[in-house]
Amino acid sequence: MKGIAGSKESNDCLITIETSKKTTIEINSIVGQFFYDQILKTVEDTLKEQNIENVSVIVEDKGALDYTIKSRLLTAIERMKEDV
Amino acid sequence: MDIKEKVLKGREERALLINRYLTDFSIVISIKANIPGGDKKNFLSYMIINAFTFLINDFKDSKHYYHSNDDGPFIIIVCRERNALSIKNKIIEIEEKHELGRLVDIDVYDKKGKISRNVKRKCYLCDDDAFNCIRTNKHKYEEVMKYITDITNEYYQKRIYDLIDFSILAELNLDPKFGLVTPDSSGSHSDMDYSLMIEAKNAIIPYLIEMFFVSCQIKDISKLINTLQEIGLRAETDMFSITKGVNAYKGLIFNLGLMVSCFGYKISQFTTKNIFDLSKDFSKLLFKDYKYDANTYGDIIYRKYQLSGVKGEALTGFIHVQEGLKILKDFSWDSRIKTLIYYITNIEDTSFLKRAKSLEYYYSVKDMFTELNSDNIDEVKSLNDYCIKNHLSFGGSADLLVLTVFAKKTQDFLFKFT
Repeated sequence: MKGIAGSKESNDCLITIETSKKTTIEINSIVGQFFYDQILKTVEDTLKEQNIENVSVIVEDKGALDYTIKSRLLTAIERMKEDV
Repeated sequence: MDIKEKVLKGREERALLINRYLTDFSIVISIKANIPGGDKKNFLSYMIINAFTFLINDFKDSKHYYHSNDDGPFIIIVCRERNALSIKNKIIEIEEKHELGRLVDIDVYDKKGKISRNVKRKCYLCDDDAFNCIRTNKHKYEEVMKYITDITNEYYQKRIYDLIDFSILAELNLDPKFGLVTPDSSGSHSDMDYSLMIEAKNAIIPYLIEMFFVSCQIKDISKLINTLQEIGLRAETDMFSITKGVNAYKGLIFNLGLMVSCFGYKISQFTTKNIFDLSKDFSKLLFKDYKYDANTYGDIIYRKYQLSGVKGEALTGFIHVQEGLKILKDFSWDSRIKTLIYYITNIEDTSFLKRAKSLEYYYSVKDMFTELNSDNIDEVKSLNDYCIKNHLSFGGSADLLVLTVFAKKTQDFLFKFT
């Protein structure tokens, strides 16, 4: 099952989430060198909050703020659940 | 859904829309304002992107579309050109050099997706990388919005001033002019001269600019019209105090004020209506309950002859100016004089009627202009002498010439990188 949300527009991010054997998070960010940890924490916290495990998450970040990353991830999770 | 969610939804929709365009076209260009916060559909967004509509005509066989959602308005240009990179480089140059370039995101997409710039954009307020400032919330929202508002207003202020000044001078400096004031002659006006007209012009321009800006901000037409009338009255008062009671530009405050307002109203949103359509809408509301019962010359004439003069012209959406625009090919003496003659022969110019005194004489003078060959300068000069000798003048026609120059200039404005 797979869900995609967001875009590669400025100040946005494209998030792809897919069921997997274990949880992996990949972050490609234009601000990665400064904000990698913050983005990772937002993704981890959101997954935890939603009790989601064993997924691979790819974040292609174009300068999104944390609430954008969280919102995109939540939508991607919803879309993943609907994907059969 | 809260506003932040709506903005994000709009942004995703825009990306999907761009992808759809890319199935049919090799290149998609998207023009969007770069404004922080939730209110992306602010009038400033429209003013910013409408300053880049010149791009619409810059590409071969291109088409363009206007869109708007909660992430704000955007213009899409699609074309079948091949070299996306050269387009991107040209656009980076525009973003760097245009006064509003920093406030706009002009993105270029080809089949492989968005072409990113290698150079990171700087923050509006400091020299830091823009993304760092956004992420660290370095600047207050109000501070950023103030910057955006200030440079947008400054950009338009300068251009609108130039547009208005150029338009009024294009008429005022035309010579000979059949009894109207020129740089060398007071014509048929014993109470006016060129320097008085210049002073009157300078007095009214700030009010016309004010009309432009309120028309950008107020979208409820009834409310807007009340505000415009109030500005118009202040403009009249100021003009009369500078001319010591001489009516230099009262008609023009109304006419040009209306057109400048419609231009502001247009440029701060997406509308397929042009400034003439909007002038008609505005005038209909303005004169909805008008009884022509005032003790002004215009109203007296209306009651006597049913000639509605300037009000009538505005109510038709300046139908004669739309024709005049075809005659005014450029801003040369020849084009201007031909356009003026067209108005003298074709419109109901009540300030001319006032001087002609009788309807019979009014029409006989119009006939002289119909027969005039404007390519023969001697004929023009001799009719000019005749008009001055008989104290004739054509204030209403002169005003429409100003409007025609203004309308032509705004067409250029919308399609040129200045």
